[in-house]
Amino acid sequence: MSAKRVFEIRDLQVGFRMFRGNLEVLDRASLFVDPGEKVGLVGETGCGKSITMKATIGILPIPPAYIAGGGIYVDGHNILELRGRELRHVRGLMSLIPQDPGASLNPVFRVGTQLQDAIRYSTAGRGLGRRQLRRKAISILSEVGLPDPERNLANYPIQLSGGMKQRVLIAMALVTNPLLLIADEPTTALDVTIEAQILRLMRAAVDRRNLSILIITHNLGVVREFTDRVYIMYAGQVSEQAPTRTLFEGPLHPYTKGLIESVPKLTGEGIAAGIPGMVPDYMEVSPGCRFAPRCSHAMEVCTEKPVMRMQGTARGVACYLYEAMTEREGTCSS
Amino acid sequence: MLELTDLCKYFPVQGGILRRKVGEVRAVDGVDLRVAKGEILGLVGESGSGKSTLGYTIVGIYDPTRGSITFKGSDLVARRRHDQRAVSKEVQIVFQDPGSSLNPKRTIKQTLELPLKIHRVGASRKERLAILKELMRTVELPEPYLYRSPSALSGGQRQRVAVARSLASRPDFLVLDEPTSALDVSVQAKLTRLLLSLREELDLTYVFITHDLSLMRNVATSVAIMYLGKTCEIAEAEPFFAQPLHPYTQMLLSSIPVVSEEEEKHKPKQVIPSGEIPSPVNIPSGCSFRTRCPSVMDICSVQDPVFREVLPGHHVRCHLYGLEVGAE
Repeated sequence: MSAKRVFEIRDLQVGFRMFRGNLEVLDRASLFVDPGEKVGLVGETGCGKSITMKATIGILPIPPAYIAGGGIYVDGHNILELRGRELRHVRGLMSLIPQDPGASLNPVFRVGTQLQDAIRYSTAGRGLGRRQLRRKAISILSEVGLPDPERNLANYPIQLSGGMKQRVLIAMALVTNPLLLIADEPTTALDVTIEAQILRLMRAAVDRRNLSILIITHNLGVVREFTDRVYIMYAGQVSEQAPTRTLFEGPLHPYTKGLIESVPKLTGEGIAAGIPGMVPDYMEVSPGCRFAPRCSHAMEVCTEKPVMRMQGTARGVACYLYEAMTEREGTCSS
Repeated sequence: MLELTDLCKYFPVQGGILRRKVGEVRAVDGVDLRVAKGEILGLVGESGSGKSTLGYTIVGIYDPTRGSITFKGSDLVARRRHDQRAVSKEVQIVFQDPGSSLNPKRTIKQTLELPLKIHRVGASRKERLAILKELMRTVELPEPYLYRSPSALSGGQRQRVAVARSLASRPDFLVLDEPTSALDVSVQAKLTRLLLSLREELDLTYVFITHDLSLMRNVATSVAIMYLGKTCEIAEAEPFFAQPLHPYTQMLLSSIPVVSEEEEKHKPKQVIPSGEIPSPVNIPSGCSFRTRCPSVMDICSVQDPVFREVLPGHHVRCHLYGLEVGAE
């Protein structure tokens, strides 16, 4: 069904068994990434974006977590159904660029050792000798713009700055020749001038290799500058999806609108009112639209879960305000 | 209201088995700054720029190595030596991370009551409780939250408690150290609005420490940019954003990822950022920004530019503005 899709999550349901009951976090979340696409997954703290990432790369702590349904397809294979060697092979098609560069490198091993290990245990490093490993490490480090790569191979992570560590981690992610990169808040820990450099580097690397990338972030500005297409997630539900430009020019979902308005603007139009209320407790979420309790447009029907209404393959919104969207063309401009 | 003159804060770097001083970190290095009553000064810089150290020095967490802090006409450092309590009643701080700045073992009531006791606000227990309820109203939290512990509150609510605590002694000057950077944008907007309305209502003056220039565009009345312990540009907000002069300011502004086409027009022409902030232990000679500056000249490595008024009220530390060499 999804032979051409590099990556697809279909109706994924993830929950946590807690002492006080089950937390149903991901509520049938679906998203996909096509070859060569840069896709963003945006949401605030606790919306389930990191859980999506963890389920995908298989580091979800099960138990207490459990996957109640859905599938995660990488290059057409559902990784939830694979085991052993097959699972390892499919996982090898993905690389993660982690959030906190400070905590993601082992402080007691040299940069070179860690990078060469990453190469050695991937398909890209099969049968390489020590010299070849080293040469490959140096070439990838110079590709990610780390100054003086030969010397830096012998350095410990503590000797590098945050931006340089992030470059090493990007090198580690690229060197295994993945199909898909998953970047989890890759620039959140960095200053803006470093962030701009890292984003430029990631774009260049992805475009050169024609990779697909899913970037998970809370920073709408980063998403607007980096991605082709965006998913907005609220409290475990995907509420809106659109090509990036379309989304920022005309957001549909009340949550997306509130989120974009909340960002302080360089145009200096003052501070927006924000979104009333608070993120729900996953113990007590309503079975319908989870944003409804905070939504100024909430209606009776919102107690039932809205389906994602699509217009074309890329634009969709899960909101009863846009009931007619699939039927009539051009109702898009809210 | 507040005036800093040549303010410096150096930290010793110790080394060897005798823990001898082998160097120093010039976290704040010769800052001159003025904050008028009712102003919101945005103190902006990247990590390691010394903006937090400067804030801590103002509120007395650090003693300045050199220079003076004049507050309402008197020497704050000397006054603090004489009567710490009286000073901290007037000058307060809100810390960055409400998760770690509130004592998890105390209820909100206990946390908020302590400054009342210390500053002898409210004579009886009953009176103090009335003040606490008033404080909760001020920061728009429900009264029953007084009996909760911080762990039962969300990040935004905790930060409101932190704001209430700093307001308990009825100060007129607040240092806000990245008060919203640990919060989600929708929560950040609400807290920022609260801070703005409190300033009006209680006649407060803020030094707002942040790395977020977009936020300052909407909040600050004037802006100071710091880089490696020095201010490189200070101006009132309007001229500052209309015409940023220092190459570092331009680099910062053009690096901000924005959410609309309209905003792109408010950025200075694209300056491609390069390099990273050098270590504050080993600051470059001359102008400390020269290693990353797109308009670097020969003189920049030789001579530290003077911080001068380039346009009325607009101060810049850069050789591009004032090429008369050595005319100090």
